[in-house]
Amino acid sequence: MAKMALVVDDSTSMRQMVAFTLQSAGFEVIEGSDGKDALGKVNGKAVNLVVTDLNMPVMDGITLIRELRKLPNFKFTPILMLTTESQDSKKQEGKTAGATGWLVKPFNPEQLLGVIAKVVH
Amino acid sequence: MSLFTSSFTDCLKSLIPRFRNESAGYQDDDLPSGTASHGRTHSMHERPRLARRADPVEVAATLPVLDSLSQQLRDTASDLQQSVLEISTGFGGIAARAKESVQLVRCGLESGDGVSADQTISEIHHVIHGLLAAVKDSGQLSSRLSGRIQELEEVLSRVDGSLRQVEKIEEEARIVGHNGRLEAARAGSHGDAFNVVANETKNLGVHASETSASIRKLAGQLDTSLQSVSADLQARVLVDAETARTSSDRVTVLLDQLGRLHNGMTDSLHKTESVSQSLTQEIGRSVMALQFQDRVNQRIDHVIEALQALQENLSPYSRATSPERTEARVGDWRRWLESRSTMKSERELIRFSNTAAPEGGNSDFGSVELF
Repeated sequence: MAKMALVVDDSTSMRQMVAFTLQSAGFEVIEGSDGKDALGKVNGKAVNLVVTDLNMPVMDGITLIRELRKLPNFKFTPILMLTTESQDSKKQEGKTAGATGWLVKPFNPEQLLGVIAKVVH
Repeated sequence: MSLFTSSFTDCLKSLIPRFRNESAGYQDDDLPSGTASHGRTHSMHERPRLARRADPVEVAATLPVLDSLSQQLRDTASDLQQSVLEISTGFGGIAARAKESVQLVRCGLESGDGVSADQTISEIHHVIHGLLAAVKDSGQLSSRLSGRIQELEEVLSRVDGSLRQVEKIEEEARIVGHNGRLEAARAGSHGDAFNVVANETKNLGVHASETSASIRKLAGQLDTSLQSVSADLQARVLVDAETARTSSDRVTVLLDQLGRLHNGMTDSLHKTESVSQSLTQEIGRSVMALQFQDRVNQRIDHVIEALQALQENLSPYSRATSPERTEARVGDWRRWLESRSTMKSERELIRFSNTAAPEGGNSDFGSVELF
């Protein structure tokens, strides 16, 4: 059975690039255009990986992580932050919210898959 | 994008020196022209110059221009996003096709049930060797049968010797019978009984001779049959051995050819995999490069935010001026911006910035016109 990934980014092209990368590694991908949209789409579903942007309209990535971590299904799910933001204070905020890792855009597909291989079991 | 940037820069330069002029008392002619044309030829429309003194109409007239520029930025970001999306879809398709190619070559080396050509060749080797071993066994069995037949022929030969002994005994029996009858005749009436014995002895010899002849005839027929079977078997053994040898040689050659073909296909698969891997890496680099669009869009969003803030700050001027005068100056700006535009979509945006633009804003994309 294919692993399920949630990709959240307000940029359609970024979402698509991340989705293609994950699909090439055998993931089924659910896409969300912001935190709220993503929460609505994964409700009750078993997701093996979350890749989310930080700055998004409606609900940002940090808030999304906090909300996801409240759900029983997402207590131990790897959540990677993929963003242009690289400030240490933001990274610390992400870590505190429950992020598993922080990748600064632009991402290299092979590098992303390498990181995913380390966090998804 | 560069045209847009130059328009945007020009506008800002037009605004900023205006306030500088007020404090420094510069004249209009001292203002920087700010027409970074980037080598393009523009029409005769001149950039609207600011009035000698601070004039709220001038400020108010720039507000719709800022609005146009914000919309230009949004359209540019949208175009960029759409283009990158299509390129990214193309890369996704290329990567998928590359993966399919490798899969197709791999399928070519496997049967439908997942058995590889390696396994099939090995299986053929096994079956052929089994077949050759069976042919060899059959030849050996034929040789053994031939040997047994020769043994039977030797037995027949000994039967022949025994028959000769029997025939010798018959001869002696006949002589004994004959002599017996002579002695019986000489004895007269006293030899009658002896004569009977002599006759029986003679008859026994005759019967034995007939039986012996019959056995010799049967032995002869048996010998002929055995010799024929033996000759057939030996010929068969020779043919089978030759067939087995040539078949084995031919099968070995064919299996070698099959092996070389398989090796060639395996080599092609490895090369295809290698090419596919390189392609994946190159696509990866391209995907990484394409993400410039995300950064550019973020910057454009920030510039739009700043423009909107500027508009908000300057909006009080529009309420403090005469609408007719402002509209006239807005017209000047629009004509100037339109004269600098090279694309239909840009011109329509400027022309209809405060009304709905007609459908098909980018309808000039990819159009062809022959002269």
